[in-house]
Amino acid sequence: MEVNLITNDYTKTEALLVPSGDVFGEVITLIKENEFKIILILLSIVSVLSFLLFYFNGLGLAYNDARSHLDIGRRVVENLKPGLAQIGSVWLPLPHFLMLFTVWNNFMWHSGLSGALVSMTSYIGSGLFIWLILKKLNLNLIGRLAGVFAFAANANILYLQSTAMTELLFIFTFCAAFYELLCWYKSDKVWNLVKAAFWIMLSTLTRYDAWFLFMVITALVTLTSFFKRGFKSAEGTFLLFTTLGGFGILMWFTWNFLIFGDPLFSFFGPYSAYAQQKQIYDAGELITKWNIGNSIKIYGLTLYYTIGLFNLLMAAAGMLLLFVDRKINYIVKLAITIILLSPLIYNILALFFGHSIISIVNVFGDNWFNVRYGVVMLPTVAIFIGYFIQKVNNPMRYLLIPSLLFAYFTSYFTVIPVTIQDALWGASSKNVSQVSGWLKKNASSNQDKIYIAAGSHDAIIFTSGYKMERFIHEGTGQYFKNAGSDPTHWVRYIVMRTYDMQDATFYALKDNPEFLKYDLVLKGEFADIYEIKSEYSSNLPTYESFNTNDLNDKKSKYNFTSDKAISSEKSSHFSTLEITSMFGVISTALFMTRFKGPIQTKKAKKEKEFGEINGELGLNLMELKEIKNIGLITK
Amino acid sequence: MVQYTFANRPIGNNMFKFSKTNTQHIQPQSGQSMQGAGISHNGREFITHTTLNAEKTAFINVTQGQKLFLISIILIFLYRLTSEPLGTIIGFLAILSAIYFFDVVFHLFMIVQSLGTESDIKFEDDDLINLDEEQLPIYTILCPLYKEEKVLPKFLNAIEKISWPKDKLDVIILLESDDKQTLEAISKIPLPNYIRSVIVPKSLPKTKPKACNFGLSLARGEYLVIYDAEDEPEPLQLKKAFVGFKNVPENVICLQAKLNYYNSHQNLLTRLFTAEYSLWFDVILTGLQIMETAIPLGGTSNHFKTTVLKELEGWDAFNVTEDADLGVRLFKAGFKTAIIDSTTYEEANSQLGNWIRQRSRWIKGYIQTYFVNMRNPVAFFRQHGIHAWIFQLLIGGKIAFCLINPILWIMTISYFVLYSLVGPAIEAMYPPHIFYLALVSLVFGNFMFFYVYMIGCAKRLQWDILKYLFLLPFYWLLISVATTVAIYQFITKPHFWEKTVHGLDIKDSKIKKPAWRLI
Repeated sequence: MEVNLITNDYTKTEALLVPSGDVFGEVITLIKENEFKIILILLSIVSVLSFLLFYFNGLGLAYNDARSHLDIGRRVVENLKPGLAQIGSVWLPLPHFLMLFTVWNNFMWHSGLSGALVSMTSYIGSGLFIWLILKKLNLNLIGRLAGVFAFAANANILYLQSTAMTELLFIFTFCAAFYELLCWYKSDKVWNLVKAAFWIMLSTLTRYDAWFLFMVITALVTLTSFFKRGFKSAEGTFLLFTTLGGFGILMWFTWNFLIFGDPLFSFFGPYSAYAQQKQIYDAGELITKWNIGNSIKIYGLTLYYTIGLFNLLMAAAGMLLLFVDRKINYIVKLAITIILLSPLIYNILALFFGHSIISIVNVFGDNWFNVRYGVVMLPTVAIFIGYFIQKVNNPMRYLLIPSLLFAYFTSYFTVIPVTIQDALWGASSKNVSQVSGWLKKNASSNQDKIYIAAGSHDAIIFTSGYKMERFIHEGTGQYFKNAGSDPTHWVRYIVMRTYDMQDATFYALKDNPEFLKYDLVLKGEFADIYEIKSEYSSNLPTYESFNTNDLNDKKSKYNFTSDKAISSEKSSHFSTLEITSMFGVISTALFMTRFKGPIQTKKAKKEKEFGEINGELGLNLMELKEIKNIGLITK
Repeated sequence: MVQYTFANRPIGNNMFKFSKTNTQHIQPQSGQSMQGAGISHNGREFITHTTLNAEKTAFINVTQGQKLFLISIILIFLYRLTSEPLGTIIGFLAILSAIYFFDVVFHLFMIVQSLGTESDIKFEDDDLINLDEEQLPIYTILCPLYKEEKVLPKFLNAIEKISWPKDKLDVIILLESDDKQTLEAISKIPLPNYIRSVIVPKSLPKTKPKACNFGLSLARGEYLVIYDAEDEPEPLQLKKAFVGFKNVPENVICLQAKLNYYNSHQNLLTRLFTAEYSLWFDVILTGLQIMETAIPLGGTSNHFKTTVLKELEGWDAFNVTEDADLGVRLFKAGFKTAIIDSTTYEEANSQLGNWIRQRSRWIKGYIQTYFVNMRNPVAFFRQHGIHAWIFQLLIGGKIAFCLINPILWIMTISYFVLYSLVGPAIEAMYPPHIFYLALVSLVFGNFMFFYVYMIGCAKRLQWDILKYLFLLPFYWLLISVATTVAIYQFITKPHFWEKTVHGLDIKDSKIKKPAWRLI
């Protein structure tokens, strides 16, 4: 059944646009005939140039989070204990998966290009999908180009597409899902709905924003189906969409359950946003929590700084025009608006419920923090701007287009993009070069291992420029345990925030007298470095002995009694069929989750308090248990 | 149990003693048709009504060369297993995981192709309304019946509804001489003049394809279609096939209509069976069509150009899925099959035992088809390249996976339930690279195969079946049981025809019938 919900006035507007028989008309025709290719080429050129610009200005890795993302990807392929189990815990895994194709290469890793490639491809893909969306909405050439321009030329998006951050990948999957949904609303074809579910599934594996989006879209497609064909159809549509769309979420819960023993670990674990926000809330600094006014204000300002007032006003006008457009079916109008506004609603709700925090310098807080979250609304703004440009009459249109161009042009030269400010001077920025510089200068011998908590100091690991296998961190399981109990036989250097119980390394060594065999060699702003005293350095393994003497030798030497520990360490990857039980255990896991909610929260609190070893690392569940068993983690 | 009783142990056992020297082809009674043709083996006559060479049939199920190859593989495996058990198991699992992985990739590709392209031949109402009935050719409908007197009135009613000039219809009901009930039932019904009832001469083998071959020798139509007794074809199907043939390339000699079930709501089994049909006919076959590869034909509603079908020498009377075999054979001969957007509704098997029997026959037929077409693998791969590989996955792989899956499931369950006993051993069998390969197949492959059932049902707007699909693993388990039965039968009684009982739905008055879309 073909359900044409959107009326087609495409031909008419195109015809009005193209004067016949002149050079200008021919150029327009040529552009129209090759529109996709032209946009693809232009976006690609802009993407590459932007990357080069930021890379050669030393800004490509300004966000510490970008370095952490790269490190997570790298740990899967190069590490003392490589494997998929390293793919993460709090941050969602898709960006890291996509990096795996290139992050094995040192240049790709340390230049950040491995992660930037994902963002750059996403940027190009997003631009193309916005173009397709505008075309599907029957916008003419000018409307389409204006929309794509509004997205692609934004300075903040240009910066973020040049880094290893996750916003662009989310935007891309969001745009693709929205486009397929639009096609579904228009054609009622099952395949479009399946593709939309697929993109949403990828999106849910990229950013948690998409989980809300998934819920919103599920409600919309179910209701649409109900009103079209009744209950049975709605039920079937719901199952069809959620089974694929929610598959990623299901897998993520299962993953957390298998690796950390808690399906909600990524939500309530010690490095989770919840844990961070709670700390801030307890300190009375989370001013948006339970305050809808503040939440709206702060996200509004975020949009203002990332997208610009002029764009926001045009987009608002475009949205109003869409609403009064009688040619578009009201179901489609409502669905379009709700889906496009869902990132806005999500961010406000996340602030309101205390799951997210954004600081705007001199307004809320002393510094920038997470202000980049505003860019997720850029596709929405771009689509509405395109619609607005299309709908206004000619004199107004010819006034608006130069104004748009002028606004963007001036933004490049008058102010540093707020996302760069956030990265360089924001609350999350840390000057790690002091510690990493010392390591670079003094710890260059490949045979010397460095004991460090990657959950706290990933940026140091990255910036040191050393291979991942030089570091013994939480994700190395038995190595970390061994180094914690007898550091002088394992590591020459220890990097940690002394007296910080959140630092897994300090926590592991705090009661260990062996730690006295190390000297403080650098008292840093964010971390300290300790080096083994020369009289004990003979204990340390050489490069060869470390790599040739199996861990089991050391295990027996130091009387590790757990046979299970040996067997689990032997299989350096996550044990064979634990993951394969995903389908089997998921119902149990979710069932447990339902009834363990308060307990889990309590557990998370306890873990945070006593600094359990985990974080953005893959720890085998069995190893986690082992660590607990041998008393490294005690109350 | 009602059975087609051709197959008998002596033939099944004799196949292993077969040699070319004691087999002769029996020539047809006249040069005009293949009637009376067959094979003589060790003094026994098998009248198949086809001149099809015995080497192209499942008369011999496994050749000496194939047996030798299989035994060699097993012996090498066993030898390696005793000399280096872990390495051999790891190697075996590596190969297995790779095959599974390729199968997942292949199916993913095919499914995306199928869903992304409207490949089945669609028709506008105008195309069918404006047909000049004067210009329409004679169309033959073959209907082999055996002990199906219960569904006979329904079938005659369905034929009556077919939109085709009745004076150009040539309906042949094929009956067996020992089928007293059906013969009696049909004698009491005054048949219209476009329907002939014909008794197939008594001979071995007594199978549906043999009856069809006999019918083919009597066919007068330019086109020919097979319908089963319980079929309810869409009334416009013949016209659609006729228009379809006019619009496809000359080498497309078969148009397969889609099959589905009218009694899907009878019970859980019929629901899952319906979902499987929706997947097979609405997703898989259209995907195969796009890939222009061999299409194993469905049991009924395959429309042929009669002359070409005769050139192909009809059906293999010894193959218990003669339709699938014919689909591959016509492809090998350079012809193609296309799918048309028209549905024939059938009765889904609603009883478990009956279902197992039917499914085991199908799988046994697939095994026969596999071995028949792999008698000269080098030539097969050389001539058909990628399509020969697809055949391996589609026919060979399908059978193998049904057998192997339960073993892997047992391993998985054992790993968790009996970890202390088998856990470390299973871990040792999967080095990281094999593990990741297997993981992809296990998690994403299983999900994909499950989800594509949902898509199949959604495409058919069978929304209310979707929730039952979460029970599919149990259905897959039943398929594995049927596969085990099929393998056993392939060895012990290869030509035994497990007759499916029809009419089990008739008691259930609640079953909804399809509302035909009328012009």
